Order: sequence, then structure tokens, then C-alpha cells
Amino acid sequence: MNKKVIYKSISVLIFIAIWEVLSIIVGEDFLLASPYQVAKRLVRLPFESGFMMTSAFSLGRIFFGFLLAFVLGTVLAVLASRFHAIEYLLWPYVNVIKTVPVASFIILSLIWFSYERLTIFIAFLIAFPAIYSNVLQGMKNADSQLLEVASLYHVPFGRKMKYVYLPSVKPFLLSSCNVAVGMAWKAGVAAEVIGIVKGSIGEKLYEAKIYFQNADLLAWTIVIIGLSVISEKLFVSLLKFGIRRIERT
Amino acid sequence: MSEIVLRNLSKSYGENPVISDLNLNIKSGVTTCLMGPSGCGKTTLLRLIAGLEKPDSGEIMSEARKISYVFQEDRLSEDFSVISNIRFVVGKTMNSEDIRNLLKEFELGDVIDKPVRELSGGMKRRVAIARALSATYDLLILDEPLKGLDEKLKQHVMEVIKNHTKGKTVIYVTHDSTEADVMGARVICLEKT
Repeated sequence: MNKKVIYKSISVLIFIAIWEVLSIIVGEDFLLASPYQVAKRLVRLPFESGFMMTSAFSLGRIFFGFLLAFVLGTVLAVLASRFHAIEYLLWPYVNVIKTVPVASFIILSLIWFSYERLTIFIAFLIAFPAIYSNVLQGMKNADSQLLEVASLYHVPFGRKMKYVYLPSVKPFLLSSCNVAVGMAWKAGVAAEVIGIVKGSIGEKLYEAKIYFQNADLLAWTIVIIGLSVISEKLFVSLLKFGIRRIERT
Repeated sequence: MSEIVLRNLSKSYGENPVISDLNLNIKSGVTTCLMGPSGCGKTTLLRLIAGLEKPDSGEIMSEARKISYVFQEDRLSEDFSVISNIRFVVGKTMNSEDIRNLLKEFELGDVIDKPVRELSGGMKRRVAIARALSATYDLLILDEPLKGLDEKLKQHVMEVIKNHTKGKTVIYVTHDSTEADVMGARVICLEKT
């Protein structure tokens, strides 16, 4: 076992120990359930009716919102790097989205959209600036010497994208996706809780809160972390695979 | 055929004049070697001829529409394979068999599908030269193309370049007069301004 895994495992064990001690000190399950109670709840959760539907509901909407942000953020960043007018036109919007609190957007969206679209819109809104800004940065960091070669040989834009921009955008795109998937999950579930979106994980968290079911709340939180990590790893792996395919063709 | 005529050409970077009032005729269909001390403006002159920089004054008259260039740096896309780096410039205008044959001439036959980042410095240099030769050109510019190659390889690569550029307009920058001799080039010496 390598050192990285050992240190990470120690860190998790320390966290669980502190949690156990705190739950003993607090002494009330509805305030802080113990790790054992949460683990017991977590094991039962997948066998309860509606678990898969609830998870799929939130996963589908949050991931769709992220995918929209990925496609639109990438396309607009590529266009903005070519046409500065687009970059300047988008600048105020991107900065407003970055700075306005997500709660404000959620409440505004509750007025504008149906509950079903709320999660998609919020996940999109949070992931978009991260992907757009990073891809734009990657485009701007493209190797100027290779771009000079491309201009000398009148290389068409598609080929320039593949050989000059892709190597430069790749690290920016991968790191932004790593961050943006997690951000989309955080904001998406927050939107579901505030909007009490029917059939969502957010609704389960809300119910756990009002019925003082602390073990449920923490078990669902662990489910969210799991889904977020799985979707992030899966998407980034697929993206890496796709980029490798392009590099090899 | 593309003769290149330079008239009263001047170029400076800030307060530093690099080329002053240069007049030069570069004959078509032959190799011309530009020699001279470091900082005398050889690379700047090549960049002006290639249209990568604009002169401060003077004019460049050239019929060369398509220019191929071996820069002092390799300028390769490191994540891509050797053959992909050739494709970057030629697209689908050259078939894979011809590219492979050209690379074999440069003794790169075993590394055709390897990513450039895995190659040695000398191999990368040869890929850069092969890429320039694979393109269609009226004028080929070589800026110290053999830099970093050992003596044995230098001889071999020079022979390959010579075979591929017979009857073509070539401008070749070097510090080594033996390279000019082997290439059978007309030599022009530049001096510092």
C-alpha cells in the first residue's frame, strides 16, 4: 500500500473517531447521530423503495446541467478566444455569475422555472464560469511558436484546434471539470433543498431536517458525496479517453 | 522558380538596429547559405523573408507563395506522434506511405508512431526537418537545421536535405562553412550593423 493511501485512510479514521467522540458528548441522536448509526442507515438505504429513483432524479438533472455547462462553456471559450468581441460581451455575465450568491439565483429561479428545471439551471450556472474561464485561459496559453508554424503553412482552424490548442487546453479543461462536477452537485442539491424539489435527494435532506432524522441526513450526505465522486471520476476518465483518441488519430 | 530581391531593408527592435539598409539577391533554384556572427540579423532576415515580421523600411520582392521553414527551435506538438506532427502541416495531401518513407530516410522509421515527447533531441530535430520537407513549397528556409546533431548524423541529414532540394530555392543559415560546402551552396556573409 502506498503512503498516499495510508495517510488518506488515517485522515478518514481520525475524522470518524472525532465524530464518534462528539456524538457521545452531545448524547442526542437527533442532534448528531453516531458513525455506527449512520453506517447502519447507509447500508439499508439502497434497499428502500425509491432510493434508486431519488438518486437517479438528482444525478440526471445535476449531471445534465453540468454537461450543458461543459458544452456551452467550451464552445463559447473557443469562440471568445477567436473573436475578442465575444469575450468582452460575455465578461460581465461570467463575472456576475461568479460573484452573485447561489442562494439568490436559486430563489430567482424558483420564480422563473418549474421545479424540475431548477436543478438543471443551477448546476449549469455554477459549472459554466469555471469551465468557460479555464478553457479560455487554456486557449490563450497556446504555444505561440506552434501557432506561428500553423500560420506559415496556412493550417486550417480544425487542425490547429487538434495540434496546438488541445494540448494547451487539456490540463485546464480536466482540472476545471474536476472542480465543476463537485460544484454542480453542491449547488444542485442546495437548490433541491431550498426549492423542496419533489423526488430529489434535496427533498430527502429537507425531510430528514424537519423530522430530526440526523442519521438519514448524514446517510444521504454520504450518498451525495459518493455520487459526486463517481460522476466526476467517470466523466474525467471519459474525457481523458476521448482526448487520447483524438491525439492518436 | 522564385528569386528573392531585398532592397534597402532595415529592421530594428526598439533602439537596437538589427538590419540596416540591406540589399540582396537570392537566386532561385539554388541553395544560398547565410553566414555571419551571432546577432548579425540572420534569423531576423529569415523571418522577414518568410513574412513573419514586417520590415521598418525597404522592400522584399519575392515570387515565393508557399514557404517551408525549419526554425531554430523544433516547434513540434509534443503530445502527438511523429507522423501526426507531419500531418499537422500537410493534412491529407500526402499519403501515409510517402510520409513513412520520408521519415525512414531520416532514420526515424522505428519511432513513427511514438509521441514526440519520448524522442531524443536529435530525433526531434530530424522530425522538424522532415516536416519542413514534407510540405509543398516554393522556398525552403533552414535556420541552423543541424544544431544538436552529432557529426555522423549531420552528414547523413545533409545528404537527405540535398537530395530533396535539388533545383529548389533554399536559404540555409549556418555557422559551419563545411555545411555550406556539402550543400554546394552559394555563400553570403552578413556583418553586424
